Amino acid sequence: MLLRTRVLLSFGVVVLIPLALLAFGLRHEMTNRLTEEYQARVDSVVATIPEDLQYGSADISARLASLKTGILIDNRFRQATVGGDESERDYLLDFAESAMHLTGLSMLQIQDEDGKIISSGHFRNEHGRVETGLTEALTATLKHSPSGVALMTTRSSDGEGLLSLVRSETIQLGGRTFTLIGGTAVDKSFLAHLARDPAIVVSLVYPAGGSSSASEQEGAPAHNVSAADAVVGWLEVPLIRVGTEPPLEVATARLQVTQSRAPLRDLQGSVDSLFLMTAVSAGIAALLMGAWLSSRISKPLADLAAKTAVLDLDRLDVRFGGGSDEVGSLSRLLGDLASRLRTSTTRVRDAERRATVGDLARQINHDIKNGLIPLRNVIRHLEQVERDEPASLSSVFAERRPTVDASIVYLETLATSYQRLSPTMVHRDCDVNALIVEVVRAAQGRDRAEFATQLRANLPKVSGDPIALRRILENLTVNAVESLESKPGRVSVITELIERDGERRVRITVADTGCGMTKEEAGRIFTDFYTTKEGGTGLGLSIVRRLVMDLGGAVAVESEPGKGTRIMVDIPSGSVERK
Amino acid sequence: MKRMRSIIGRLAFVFCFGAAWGCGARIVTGVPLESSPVPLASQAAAAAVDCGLFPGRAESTDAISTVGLAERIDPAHAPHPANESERLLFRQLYETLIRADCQGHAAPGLAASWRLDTRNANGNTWIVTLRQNARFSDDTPVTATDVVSNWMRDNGSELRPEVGRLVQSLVAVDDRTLEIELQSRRADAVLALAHTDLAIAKPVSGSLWPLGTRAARIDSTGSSVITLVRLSGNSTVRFLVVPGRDSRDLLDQGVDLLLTRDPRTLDYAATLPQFEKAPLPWQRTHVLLTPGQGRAAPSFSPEERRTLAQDAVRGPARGAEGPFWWESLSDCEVTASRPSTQTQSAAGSIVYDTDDAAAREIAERFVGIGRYPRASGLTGEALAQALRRGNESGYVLSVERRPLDPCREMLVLGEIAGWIDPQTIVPLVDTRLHAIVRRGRSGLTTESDGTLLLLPTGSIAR
Repeated sequence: MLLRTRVLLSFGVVVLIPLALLAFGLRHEMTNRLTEEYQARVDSVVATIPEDLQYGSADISARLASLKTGILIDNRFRQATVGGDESERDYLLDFAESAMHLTGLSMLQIQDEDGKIISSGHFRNEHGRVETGLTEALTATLKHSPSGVALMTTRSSDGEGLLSLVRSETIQLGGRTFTLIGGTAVDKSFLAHLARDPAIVVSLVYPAGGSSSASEQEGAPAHNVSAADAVVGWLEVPLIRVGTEPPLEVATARLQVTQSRAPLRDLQGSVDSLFLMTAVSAGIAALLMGAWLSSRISKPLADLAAKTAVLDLDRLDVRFGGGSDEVGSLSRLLGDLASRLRTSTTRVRDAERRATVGDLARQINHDIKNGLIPLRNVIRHLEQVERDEPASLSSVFAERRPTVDASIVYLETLATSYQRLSPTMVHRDCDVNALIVEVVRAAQGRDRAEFATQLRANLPKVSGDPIALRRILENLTVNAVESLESKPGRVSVITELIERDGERRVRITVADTGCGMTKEEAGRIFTDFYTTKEGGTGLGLSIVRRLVMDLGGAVAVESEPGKGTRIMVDIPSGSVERK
Repeated sequence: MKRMRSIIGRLAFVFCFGAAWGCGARIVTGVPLESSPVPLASQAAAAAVDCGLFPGRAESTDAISTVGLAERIDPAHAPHPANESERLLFRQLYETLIRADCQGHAAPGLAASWRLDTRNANGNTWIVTLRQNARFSDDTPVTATDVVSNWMRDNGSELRPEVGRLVQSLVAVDDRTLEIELQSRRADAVLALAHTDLAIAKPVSGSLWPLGTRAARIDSTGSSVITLVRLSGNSTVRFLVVPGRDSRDLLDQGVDLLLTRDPRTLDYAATLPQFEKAPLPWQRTHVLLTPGQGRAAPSFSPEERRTLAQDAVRGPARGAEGPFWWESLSDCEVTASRPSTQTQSAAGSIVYDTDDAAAREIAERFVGIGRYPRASGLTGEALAQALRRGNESGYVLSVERRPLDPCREMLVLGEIAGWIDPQTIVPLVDTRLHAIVRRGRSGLTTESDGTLLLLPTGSIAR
């Protein structure tokens, strides 16, 4: 698992899980607390409604009592009712309306002992209608009502009916009994007053009707609200329905107190949104952090690993960067290690070279001495004979000549043997372009060198040892890459067909954009053991030169300090058979 | 003596008129059968009928100087009134060719004389001659061409629709003479020329008020006061316009004249010694319109109508009294009604005009006694649409009790709702206005539609 993935997962676990736990816990606690509060509010309103109704009912009763007092002293009323004075008929018909407005009631009707309405304030023109039994029903209902109040629906001209909280008052006038039935309208404002709190909705549900303290636009609750939608409390109030079939009916109305859960749901929604936003933000932060850590740790480590993988005794020219952090420290350590290795390798190679050269030199010294010592002895004997017996010099020479010949043969054989130490070349037809492609492919990825090839199509084959040709190309490309000194640069390999001295040659050019050389340096690069690179053997280009010459070709160099170097290798073209 | 002559004349006239009305004889009120112009003497005799608001009372020098109006006045309506207040004000400014006096007689207005053109076989063409000194209130003469242009559309090629209900065609014979072919062929058809739809006015650039031909003109207008100046004598009459307010306030503000049917105002006026009341003619009949042919329309006996008026309506009201003009339309070419295409709901509402208090009270009484389940008040376009649909149980509206042209009235009802025909009209209650007048004021005369004239009729001749 990548470091980036581990960092992301860790971050997610460390941040998101506690956040989610907090969110759910908070939400749950909030829901419970608010629900309890809503229930308490509803219960409180339900407990106070009966008191409010009783207070309202008592107020109506007081107004009716006051009206009664007024009627008792009103002669015109007496004349119209008891006296039957037709001239006061209009006065009587309009009386209830005026009285209703004066006493602040919403409905008022005056009935005689037969139940006939003699004056109606809320519906003037229903006078004459008989509502038998209404007074008795109202009295009985009030008596048996647990809350001591009663509601009543009366007829209205628009057919909608008028729902009121009602009381009655009886008047004895001139031997006749009249009943005042009056009340205040149970409408939206009345219910809103019962609710007290704008968040609470008080609805009244009764047969063939209903009213609410909230408008439809404000989302008045349905009469059958579910527990999920609202907290509900209720109480029952007796209701007298007038003007129905049957004409008089005592029913039960239900006052429903509702606290919608909509604010709680809104709050939950807001909290959920907030936590979601927080989680998303945390996730994005985790991603960004992971990406940043990746760029600061994983990639440098990967680069470091890549460079280290390339590191080899043959490739100690890898440059490690620096940095102020731990990766930078590791990089510097690796760079120091590479540098020490380069130094050590140089020493070792020098030592090996010296050792090899020394061994070889000692061997050659020994072998040559072996060959030269007999020659020296013969020469000395001949010197002695020439000094002592000059006349016998020729005979002594003839006598000692086999020894000289043997030494010479020994030395020639020695030379031949030492020549055999160098590998023998195999001559085959070689496809230079194909070899270049292989070598470049193998070399790509080194340091920060960019390789480019410009290969002539249909390039004639050259006759030579493919291994030697390969060694030439490898050495040249390695040298070109090393000249870049681990900086970004370009190594180009170009093949072309040229003609020189009447002979067609394949020219291989390896160019770099490296550090370049001075003229003096360029003149010595093919010299054995000459090198400008720290830890270099100084044999690379000298081997190239030797191998090129073995192929019958030539090598040249062009260079400019800071600009780069071009090495051109010309090899005669032509197949083995032609040659 | 004068009073005796007046009473005898009145009785005789009523007898003749009643006979003519009942028999449908082609006796034109005020016009003999001979095709000769009504001489001024006869007109003067007709005008001798005392149409004063307080008949028999001696004239005083105190004319009405302030009038209270409880409805909105819109000069754009002039000279055709849209409410009672406009009717009163416009009547002081604009004339028709003929007036219908308090007895329903045709009396000279802008026209001095008129006669049936016996040369024309159709029997409804009249030759009308304008009075010699007829002038607009800017003193420019009124010609027959002015009358023609008043009654024509702006394009001048056809009659205005409201004129077309009464007049078929007209031609200016000369500067003072018009040949008018009426729509109606009824015996009293010439009374159609007294309709307010035919009032003459001349638009004036720069003024909202067109010029009339009476001896008065608008002097100034404010947000709530319109001042009329009498052209003879230069006295003014101020009209206090206070729509929507309690009309008792106008009495308290000291008006000389207030027309009302509000019972509270009438009761209040009765307590004010400086005022006296006079009932105006029974002007409106409230009817029940019952859509749906084939369904037996309800009917109310006179006693029931009387009880309804007594029980339901708070203002001056009585049971509707006949004869009812929609029951004698044989001389009218009235298009057959189209039955309502909507199904009447058995439990439908009874609809009334919200702006008509008496109609509301009647409708509520019907609901109160259980005749209908509910009453619905509508006004304006909503009421018009409901009438067109005709799918309610009933409609309570008010109509002219004595229209100048019953054929025209039936035509208008038919335009309101195609299903209305005489069989669907059930008479209920008559109502009228009362005039509350400051004591000592005089000069008030009534016309057949109950409208008061504040200016003496003699002022017509200037």
